Amino acid sequence: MDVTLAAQSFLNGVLLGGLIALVAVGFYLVLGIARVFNFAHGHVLVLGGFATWSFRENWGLNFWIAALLGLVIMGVAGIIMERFPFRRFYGDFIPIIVVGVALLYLAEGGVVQVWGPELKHVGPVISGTTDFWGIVMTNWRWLVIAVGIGSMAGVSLFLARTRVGRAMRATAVDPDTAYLQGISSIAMARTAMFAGCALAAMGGGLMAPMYGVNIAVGMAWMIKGMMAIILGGLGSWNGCLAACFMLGMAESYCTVYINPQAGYIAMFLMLVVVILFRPWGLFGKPLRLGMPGE
Amino acid sequence: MLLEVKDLWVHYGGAEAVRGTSFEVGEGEIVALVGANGAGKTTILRTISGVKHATSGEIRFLGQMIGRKGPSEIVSMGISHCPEGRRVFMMLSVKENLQVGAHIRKDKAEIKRDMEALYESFPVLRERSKQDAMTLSGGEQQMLAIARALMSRPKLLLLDEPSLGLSPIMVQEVARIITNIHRTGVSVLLVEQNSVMALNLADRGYVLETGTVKLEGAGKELLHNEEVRKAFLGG
Ligand SMILES: Nc1ncnc2c1ncn2[C@@H]1O[C@H](COP(=O)(O)OP(=O)(O)OP(=O)(O)O)[C@@H](O)[C@H]1O
Ligand SMILES: [Mg+2]
Repeated sequence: MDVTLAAQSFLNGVLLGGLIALVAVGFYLVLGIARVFNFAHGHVLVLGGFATWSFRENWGLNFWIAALLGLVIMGVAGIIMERFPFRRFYGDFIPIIVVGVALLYLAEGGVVQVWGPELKHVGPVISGTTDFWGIVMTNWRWLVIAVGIGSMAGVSLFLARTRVGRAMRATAVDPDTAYLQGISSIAMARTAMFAGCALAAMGGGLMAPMYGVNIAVGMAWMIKGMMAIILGGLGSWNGCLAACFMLGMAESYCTVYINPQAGYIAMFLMLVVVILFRPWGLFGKPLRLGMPGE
Repeated sequence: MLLEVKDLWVHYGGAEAVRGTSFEVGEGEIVALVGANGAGKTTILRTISGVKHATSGEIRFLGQMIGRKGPSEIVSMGISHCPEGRRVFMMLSVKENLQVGAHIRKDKAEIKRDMEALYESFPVLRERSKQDAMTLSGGEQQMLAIARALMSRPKLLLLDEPSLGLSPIMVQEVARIITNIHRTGVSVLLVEQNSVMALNLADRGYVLETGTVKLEGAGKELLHNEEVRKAFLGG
């Protein structure tokens, strides 16, 4: 067995896991706080990528400024989505799903209208490769790994240590009682939508120089993020993170050692097996019923 | 007057839950609100806290109308609500529960000091400060819920059935805690089904029946009132 290939696949798994986590964090927060499942969340990632592409390739801005603009724009789009389509249906699961699917088609149609259906390329930002104990990866991939891990550490610290992070967790556990402490579920949902969409858009920007930008992958990223939160289980942020990296590993190793389709199948199999034995996920608790207060 | 409630009407959809209730809590008082299931006690407290809004009537706190304000403003003004059934945040640690109770405050150093002071009065909470609230017993959860409510530094504490589901010894302990809180200068509006405990503690009491005040008077006086005894104390 080739040790270098195995190690390389491991790092690729970390990379994929980090990207999945950038999508899953939005699902995790928004589902936990507002019981909203946004089917268009994968498209938020893609739109972040397209915004980055436009600012970079059309306007000629610096890549990092382009990506930052994409992040902010999609974060604000998240706030708008929270305010208008979703808020009036809080607690009503079927309309929430309908709104999510409607947003998905809107995003899909909009992207095709504005940018066309084909793959867009974003030029390299930093070049070269680095050899780390025989594992050779492009510098860009090393950087994406670092940013992925860094942002997840940031989200973890935010949730565990800050006043707003605690308030978000309290709202997810019991919105009514959180409201009695002066915490508005609406404000928490807004914050969660902003952060979730901004991080997904950042993922879209980061992957653009590696994979290009393409509308077709929106659905795939949505499904990966969704699998992560189901696998990890609601109510456990660490579980969600662990699930993201498990999925990343499954995809990476199966893609390398079998074929790309096998990666996808492996992810689904993992999910099915876990759901059979623990419907609430590996680390989660059975879902709280009821709806958020004001 | 610290709190004045005048001719309060509250509805759930078309159903009347509170029908023209009036009462007061003075500075430094313990006031009991007793009544059977469904009398509207919880609804009254939730309306004072701003999580539910009245159809009509006035609520004044320190002379200011608060009927249209939301809970964050009301908590900041000095009313804290310890809800029925304790409702601690199960998946948060004991310490985090207390921190969430201080959500509206920004004075970090003072929050720390208050938390220390509460740990002094509730040593169990200090021992368990890192554990999830889920792991506490019912009585310990009630103490946590009261301590959490105190973290916002209230002038008026609303307590909704703090003795619910507790053993007689724990009920006595809760009564002792309420007396201690009252000694620190916090006024208390105490809602109870356990009328004996509540009326014993209270300076004054109100007996509520289907959303209206039926009787009012000094706590001990109500305790010995024939009607009250018949209705609530089993003869
Ligand atoms: N969320 C709600 N929706 C509809 N009706 C409600 C709601 N909450 C309470 N009610 C009704 O309002 C009335 C007063 O209820 P409330 O909970 O205030 O009574 P309570 O005095 O606190 O009773 P208990 O001693 O059982 O706690 C009851 O008739 C109850 O059925
Ligand atoms: Mg009640």
